[in-house]
Amino acid sequence: MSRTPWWQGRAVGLVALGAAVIAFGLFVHNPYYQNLAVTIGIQGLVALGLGLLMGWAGQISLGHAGFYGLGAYASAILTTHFSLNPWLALVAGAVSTGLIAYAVGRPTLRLRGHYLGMGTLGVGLIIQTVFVQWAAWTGGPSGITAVPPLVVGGLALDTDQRFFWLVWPVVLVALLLMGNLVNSRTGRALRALGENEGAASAAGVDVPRAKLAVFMLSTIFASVGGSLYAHYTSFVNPSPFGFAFSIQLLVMVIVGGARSVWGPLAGAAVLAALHQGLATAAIRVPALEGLEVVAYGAILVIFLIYRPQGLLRPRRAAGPRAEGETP
Amino acid sequence: MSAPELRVVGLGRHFGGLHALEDVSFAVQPGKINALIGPNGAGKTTLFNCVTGVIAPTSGEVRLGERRIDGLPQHRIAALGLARTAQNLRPWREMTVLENVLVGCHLLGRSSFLGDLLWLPSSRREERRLRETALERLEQVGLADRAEELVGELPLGQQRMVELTRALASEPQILLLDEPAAGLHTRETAELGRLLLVLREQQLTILLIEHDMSLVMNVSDHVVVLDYGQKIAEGTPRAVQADPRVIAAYLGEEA
Amino acid sequence: MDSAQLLQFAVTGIVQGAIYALVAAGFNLVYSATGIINFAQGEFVMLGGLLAVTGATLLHLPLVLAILLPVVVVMGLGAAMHWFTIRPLKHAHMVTLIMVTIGVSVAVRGGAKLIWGADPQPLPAFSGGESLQFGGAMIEPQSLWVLGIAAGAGLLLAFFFRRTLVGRAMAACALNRRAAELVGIRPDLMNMWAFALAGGIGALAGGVLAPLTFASFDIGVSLALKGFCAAVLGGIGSNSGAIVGGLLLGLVESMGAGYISSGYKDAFAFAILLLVLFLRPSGLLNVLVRRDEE
Repeated sequence: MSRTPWWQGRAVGLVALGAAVIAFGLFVHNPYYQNLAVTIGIQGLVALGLGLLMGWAGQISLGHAGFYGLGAYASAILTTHFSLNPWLALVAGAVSTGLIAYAVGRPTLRLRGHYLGMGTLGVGLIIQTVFVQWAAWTGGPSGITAVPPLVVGGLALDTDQRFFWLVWPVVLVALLLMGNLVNSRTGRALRALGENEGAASAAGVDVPRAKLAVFMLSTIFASVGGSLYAHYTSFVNPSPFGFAFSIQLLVMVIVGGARSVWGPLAGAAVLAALHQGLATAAIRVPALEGLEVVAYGAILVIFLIYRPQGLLRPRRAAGPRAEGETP
Repeated sequence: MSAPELRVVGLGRHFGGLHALEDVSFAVQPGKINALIGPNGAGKTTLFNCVTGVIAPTSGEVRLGERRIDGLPQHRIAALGLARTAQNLRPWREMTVLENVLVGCHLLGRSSFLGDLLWLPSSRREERRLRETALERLEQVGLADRAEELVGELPLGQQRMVELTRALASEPQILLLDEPAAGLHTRETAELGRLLLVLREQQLTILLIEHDMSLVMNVSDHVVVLDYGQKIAEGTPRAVQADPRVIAAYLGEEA
Repeated sequence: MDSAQLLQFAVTGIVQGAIYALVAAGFNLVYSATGIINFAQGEFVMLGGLLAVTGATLLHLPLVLAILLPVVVVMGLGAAMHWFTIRPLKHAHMVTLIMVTIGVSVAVRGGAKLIWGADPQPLPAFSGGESLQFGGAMIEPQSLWVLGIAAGAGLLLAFFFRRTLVGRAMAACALNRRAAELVGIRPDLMNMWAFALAGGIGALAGGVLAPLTFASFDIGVSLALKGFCAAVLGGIGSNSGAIVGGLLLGLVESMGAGYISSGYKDAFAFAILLLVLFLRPSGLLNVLVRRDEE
């Protein structure tokens, strides 16, 4: 067993990913791949947040697409109805999503297991229903068009390449923050309560507060991802923010590895590749269209049964968590 | 520093129609090893749970010094200096030995969620301090060379030791141990007994649930006996051993 | 307030509520046996409806067979789901098991879309005839079928658990797994039966529902949520609770849609679910229900 200081491995990984990002940004000019990279970055960001909640704190959320949508709609509404600066809109979206998460999380997080799953699923569906129904502000099913792009120093981030340079540094920062958290006193408390809530309380961890804090952080990741999405595509409508995407996020986290900091990002990449691959194949074989959803379900089941720790194995993982195991 | 006295006054707890505890009163002697014994189902663990805030008592009070602590959330009670180990409340098997002890150090830290997220200098300093403390603790109990191993992979005796070290890491004033010797070998039990005596030297108050009577009789200063949720005897080990009601309770169980 | 309108909403609510009660009963079957909330319960209903449509229109089966054959098929699917996805995870964490049932539900829904397409499919009503007039409210004959069959299924289930060997073994197993094992009951098989029965009752609900609302690949999620809501309202695991919870939910939903806003109809149900989970996760009616079950 090696005794590498914990920060060394992390720094190496971040620097390597940073170098890869720079190389990609400089040398890849094919818009197809740029678009793919941006998509992976945005969805990966949301998945990282969900991974933090599920993998480390052991809390399930089946409504994360709703919080992703809150960020997107906050940005779209504030910039189009109120002509707010897009950056301010992004921050306002993150803050209000955090506040909504606080209000929702306080009662919801008291629930465990399947109750929490159904509770968050219900919250997600209510959020999407509001997007569809509150047409005066959200544009109803047809959504909001002409969301302005983010601007940096007079340069509008309105191409795939420019947006890439925004999204991936954000992802790197998110990874850095997550690494910080996981290896800190707070992170240990989260892992402790994820494995055994009672024992964590006995050790002095304020469990409800810790769960609420990580839930809020997780939804803020989702909200920032949603804002980036809205400014990138310049268009929002309710359909990307429903149950289907919540499930995709779940698949990303499980496939990549819930208990590894990087896992959900890897999961996002795998799913994006799968999506593109199947879409390409479906052009030749139309019958393959729609197979994607089946694949998500099957992948989820297969991973949970045969590789519960995901593709990226955390350091000497003991498999999925042990609480509730019957001896 | 003299520890505040822990007392239960008229403590009762019902589960539906079942009286798990009924009007139990006693004081835990500060700086001493107190043992709580009784046949299975006597209500010992229920009493622990009421004292540490896992459940609230249905009647009566738990006092720490002058302060009423019954009904407070678990982590608040822990913060007042009560640490516990539990029968089935195993250590975190998926975390390393060092990390387990670090969770035990949770109450020694002040870092905030945001500070830890941003890895502020204050958080960094604190983390370094906590790691040093935790490693010291592990050295004291001879587990330093296993610091990076997952607890789930250790033998049971060492898991117990990790659990105890974890509980001590919060620098409690009162330590509650629920059957610490269960599953240990004779040699390990003897070691545990010696450790408890060392802790008493350091003025730590200990309340112990234990079935291993030789351990109880060897180390404890004060014994409280429960049977069917009621206190049937209290006193020195010698006095309790001779109490006819205690004998009856235990014989009743064995018959 | 128009009393005929009120009565109409009540009738709609009760019929819809009967369906929710059937879905809730499916949740309860699996939950009592295994402690799992099966997110795929709604897909059983969906499959029941679509298979019935195929049986009736493509294979020209008589209606009774078109309804009952899918029940048998979906029972098999439920059993297979248990055997291949739940049984291998005997020692897994509850969250893992929930995610597995979500995975199955997603895959089944996707598969149904591949097979049947996205368009809702009509199924003829079980009997012709005029709508009945009742105090100013219109009752379609199919609504009566729904109520009758739901009641029949409930009685059948009660009979199964009280009088048949398998049913009693399942009940014993749910009460005390280890003791049941000691007398020679195999928990694995009992759990498989629970999934099979949940599949069967789900498919039945789908079959009777199809003439009212059309069968479509995507009805599962919201039915599952509402069925779960009904189950929680009534206290999860309690079958009399499922009936009360289902009817209550159906009524609230139909009144809310009628008097407040139909666009938020689904949101009402979920809001009730959240409210119940927050205030009283053990179910609103559990006190009442406990008494008659103990």
